[in-house]
Amino acid sequence: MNDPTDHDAETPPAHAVATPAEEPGSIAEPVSVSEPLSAPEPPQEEPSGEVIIQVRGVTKRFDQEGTTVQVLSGIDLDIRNGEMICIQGRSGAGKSTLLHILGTLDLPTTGSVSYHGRNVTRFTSRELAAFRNATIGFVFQFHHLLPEFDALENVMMPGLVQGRPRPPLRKRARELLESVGLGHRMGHRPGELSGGEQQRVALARALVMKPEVILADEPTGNLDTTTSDAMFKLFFELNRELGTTFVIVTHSDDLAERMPRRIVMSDGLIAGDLRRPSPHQQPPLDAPDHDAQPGASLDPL
Amino acid sequence: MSGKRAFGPGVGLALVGAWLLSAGTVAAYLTSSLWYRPLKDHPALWLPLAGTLALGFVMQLGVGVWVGLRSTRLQRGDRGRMRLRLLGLVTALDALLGGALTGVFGWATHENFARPFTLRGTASEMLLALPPQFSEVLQTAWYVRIGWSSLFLLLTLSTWFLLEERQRARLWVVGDVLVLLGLLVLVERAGSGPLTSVYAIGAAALVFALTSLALRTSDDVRALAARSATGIALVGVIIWSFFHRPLPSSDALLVLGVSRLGTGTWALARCVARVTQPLLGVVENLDFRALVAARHLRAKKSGFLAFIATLSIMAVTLSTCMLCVVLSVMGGFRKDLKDKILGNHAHVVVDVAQGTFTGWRETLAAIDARPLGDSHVPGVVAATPYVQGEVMIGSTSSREGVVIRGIDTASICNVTSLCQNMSAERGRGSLRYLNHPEELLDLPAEERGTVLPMNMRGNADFDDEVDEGVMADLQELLREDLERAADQSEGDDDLLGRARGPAPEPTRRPPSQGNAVVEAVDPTAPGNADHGAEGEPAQGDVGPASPEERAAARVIEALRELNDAQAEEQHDAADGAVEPPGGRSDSSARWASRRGARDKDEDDPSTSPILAPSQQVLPGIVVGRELARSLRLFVGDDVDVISPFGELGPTGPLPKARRFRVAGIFYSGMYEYDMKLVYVTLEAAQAFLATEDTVTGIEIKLEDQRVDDAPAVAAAIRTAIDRRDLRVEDWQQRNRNLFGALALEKLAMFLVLGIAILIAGFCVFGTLTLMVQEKAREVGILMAMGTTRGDIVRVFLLEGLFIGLFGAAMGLGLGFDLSFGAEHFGIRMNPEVYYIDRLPVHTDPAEFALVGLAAVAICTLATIFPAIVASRTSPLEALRHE
Repeated sequence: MNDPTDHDAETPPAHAVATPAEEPGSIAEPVSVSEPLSAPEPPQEEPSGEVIIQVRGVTKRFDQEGTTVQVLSGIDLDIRNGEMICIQGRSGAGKSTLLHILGTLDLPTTGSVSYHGRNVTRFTSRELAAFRNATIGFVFQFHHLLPEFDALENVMMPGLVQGRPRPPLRKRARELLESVGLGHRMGHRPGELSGGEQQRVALARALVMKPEVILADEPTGNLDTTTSDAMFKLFFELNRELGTTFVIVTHSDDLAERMPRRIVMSDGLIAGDLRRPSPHQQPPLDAPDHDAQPGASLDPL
Repeated sequence: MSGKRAFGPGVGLALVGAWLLSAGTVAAYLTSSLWYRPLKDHPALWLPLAGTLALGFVMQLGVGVWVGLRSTRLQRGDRGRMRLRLLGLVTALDALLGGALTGVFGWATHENFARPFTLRGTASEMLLALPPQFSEVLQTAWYVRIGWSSLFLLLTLSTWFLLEERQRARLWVVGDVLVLLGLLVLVERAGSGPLTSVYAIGAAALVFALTSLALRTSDDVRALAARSATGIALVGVIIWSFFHRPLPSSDALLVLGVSRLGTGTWALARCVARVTQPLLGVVENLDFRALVAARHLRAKKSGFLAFIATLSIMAVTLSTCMLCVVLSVMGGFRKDLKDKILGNHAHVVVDVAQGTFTGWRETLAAIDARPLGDSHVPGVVAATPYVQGEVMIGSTSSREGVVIRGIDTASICNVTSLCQNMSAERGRGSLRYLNHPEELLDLPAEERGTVLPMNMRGNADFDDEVDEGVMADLQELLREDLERAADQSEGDDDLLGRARGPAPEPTRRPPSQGNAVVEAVDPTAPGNADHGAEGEPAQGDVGPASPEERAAARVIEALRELNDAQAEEQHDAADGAVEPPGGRSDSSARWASRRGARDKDEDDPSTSPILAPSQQVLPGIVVGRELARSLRLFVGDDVDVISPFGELGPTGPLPKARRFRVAGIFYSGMYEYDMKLVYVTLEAAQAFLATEDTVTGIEIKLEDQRVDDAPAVAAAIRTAIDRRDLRVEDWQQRNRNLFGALALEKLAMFLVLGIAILIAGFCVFGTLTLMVQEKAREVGILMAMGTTRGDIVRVFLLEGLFIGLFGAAMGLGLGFDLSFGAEHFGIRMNPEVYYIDRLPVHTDPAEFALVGLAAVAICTLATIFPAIVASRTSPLEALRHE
């Protein structure tokens, strides 16, 4: 399953793809990157992974028609490799803005965002484009697929932007779509897909470049409970199997409670940073008693 | 969706049938002149034709009723319900009306076949031939039917989009196959030359059909490329066939030729349309930016934008097409003018600033010594000396100021197109008569140019009052006479034979010439020394000769015997009847005046010294057609040439006059030349202008490929002749004003019409701006995925480029098509107004390329601003809101 050219074509992050190995037993093993489970460490208060994103003193101010809105007023945050983080908060708390700043779609007014120690706020727009393409995958609330392209092409798009050769890219996109359960709908345009399918295509697209980090802005905001449960299940699987770091903004307490790390924002500040003790030992969604213990392991700071 | 159920393949087929029928009846009407005449010749065709038509109308009625009935199944609000109902109604009514009209029309035409056949035979003309009470009603009915059919066609077109896409695609395939087959037939029928191109089209079409059918759903780049390549090859083959097997230019095949051009154009357009999709598919595989751009343009989803994009492409197409056609026509005028100037003037002229120069033989030899040796200036084909002066020329009727040129008859034809301009189809006479003027004394009538050349027919000067029909009748009569004369030439004793056969030649033509009769029958001839002047507009150069007189008298005698009682009328009739053959084609008014003059002449045959015929040998002169027309000259007529600078008298120079005899008439196509230039021999001009052995200049013709390089050759000539006192000027210098004005006019036209392209550019600008607005979200997504701003700019620039390329390609193709058609088939113009009988068209590939480049450049430039706006889109803004 492992296509060597596929790996050669990429510029994987330093930690990723240490040993491309066959994983016959894995259920969701269509993805050729299949990394040996990279977060086998027992969850602790201070997880051990390398800090890949370092946010220091980030503030964001919008000047609109004379009135200044302070959206973020000093955020410090470390995100480690392989973490699954959700950001919660009321509307206007600055979650989305923080996510955009993390994704380099927006620049902080002050402060810095560093990936692997490199301050991305100082990048040129060209460097940023290349950086985003290689390092970050986005999943948006409104999926934001390109309507003129079918599912397969949409998934291929980040690679196409990079000018990757198409045949291996197509192969990988096909595998990704199969892994998110859309192998039969590759030729369909977004308009012909349901909301859940669209979001899964968007997820496959976010994954196609094997990014270190996936930033998701209310990925299940438009989906019904069942679909969003499936979505989250997928997130957990990917996190477990690929070691991809997820930062997810969500309104849903129900889902947030299952996340290993919850960041609660309020008025542009981090009001709480909660860790669940054992995210990986707990099967994400298959335990019916999840809802019975809401917040049991979440200690407010 | 429920609308689709009512629309099974059956209704689709019925609709197609209805369209074909309606198109067929309209086409039959339009081409009625084509099938009308064969029908006359083969009455047996009537029944099958009538049967087919009747069946067609019955079928159409059935289709109309059926469609109407089926449409009732649709529910209120279903798409196309109203259209279908109307279509059913209109189809049925059209069948009834058309059937009734065609029946009446068929009956009427059938009746008409019994009558003398004088009309061209179009349907409406036939109707005009009917009794008036019928014809008016029928005429109105036909016009109603044409309008009705147009409505019908529009309606059927509007139902096209009711068909399912798959059905439409199939119909397109069928239609395209039919068009290609039709093209094959037309290429075979309407073309000359080898048939290879017919087979080539057939083979290419087959391959194209196979690839496009087999690879219909394939995404594979190679398959797409193969499809595009075969399509492009087919396009190439079709274009090639037009050159390989040229269109007929004869009027008889005009309809076929035009059909072939039209069908070919349509086939090309269809091929291009079919190739566009796979080609865009190939383009998509080139590059990510091309992929996005092509996909934006191909997007069916946003119909609004697709429609606008189509509009922009059409705007570019129309403006480029218009510019190309106008430039071609202007280029045609320029080329026409240039050819005429180059034909009548040398490419390079060596002359002095004033007067004439001596030592011209050496100069001539220095330029071109080929008659003697081998040396000549490279690029020079021939050179000829000339003497030029300004004189007055006068005939009986009037005088004109002209430029007289003494030419070397041996070499002039190598340099200018004078000889071609005097050839039988353009002019009259021959340069030979300049050197041998004695031959002018013994000239056959047709040589004299008394039978007018075709292009001079209908000329107001000559036969303003002569009815065309009368002329035709007269000529017909003449032909019969001549045939009879030929038949009876042996039987000399016969009366007519005596009159028409071997009668001695009154106009000094050799006897036994058939149409000698024509003059011979002239009743006024006997004893009239001036009898030749009867039909002769200018004057009689016919001298009284006793055998002629006797012959004429004999003829008149014979006629008198024929009909003594009405001698006078008979004379007039005979006069009229035989006049045109000699072609002495004067108007009746002029005949009358002639007759008056003749009467006068009878009293005093030598009233006017000019009119007085001369048997002496006079030097020849060649005049232009317009001058001949103005002075009423024919070959063999005498003219007086008057030079203002004669010998010095007590009060200054006295005018000097000399009589010349018209040796030829030329038609150059340039009014100025045809009016203002006369040619005599070099020696005659030298003698008349008293220039002794000097010449005004030397005219030089260059090799065709060096014509545009004339200044360089002129410089070489300057070196070769090595005379400071002589000027060497090329044609560009000599006509600088004219060509400068033409170039300026063309530039102005280019700019003015370039504004049309600019406006098309605005259209592209608007389209792209809308596109950018609509795609803002996608731009944001792409940027989130790591697309740089430069890439976004390039995506939109590419879109403008595609629009420009596509529009320009179609515009250039259409423009070339129109220009080619106009050039080939000729758009007739009134030669009396424009002095050319067809619209001159000259397509210049460089101009086309320039126009195409301009169009593409303007379209690309127009997209720069929208593209930059697009690249400024903040991904955040674009993504924030749905």
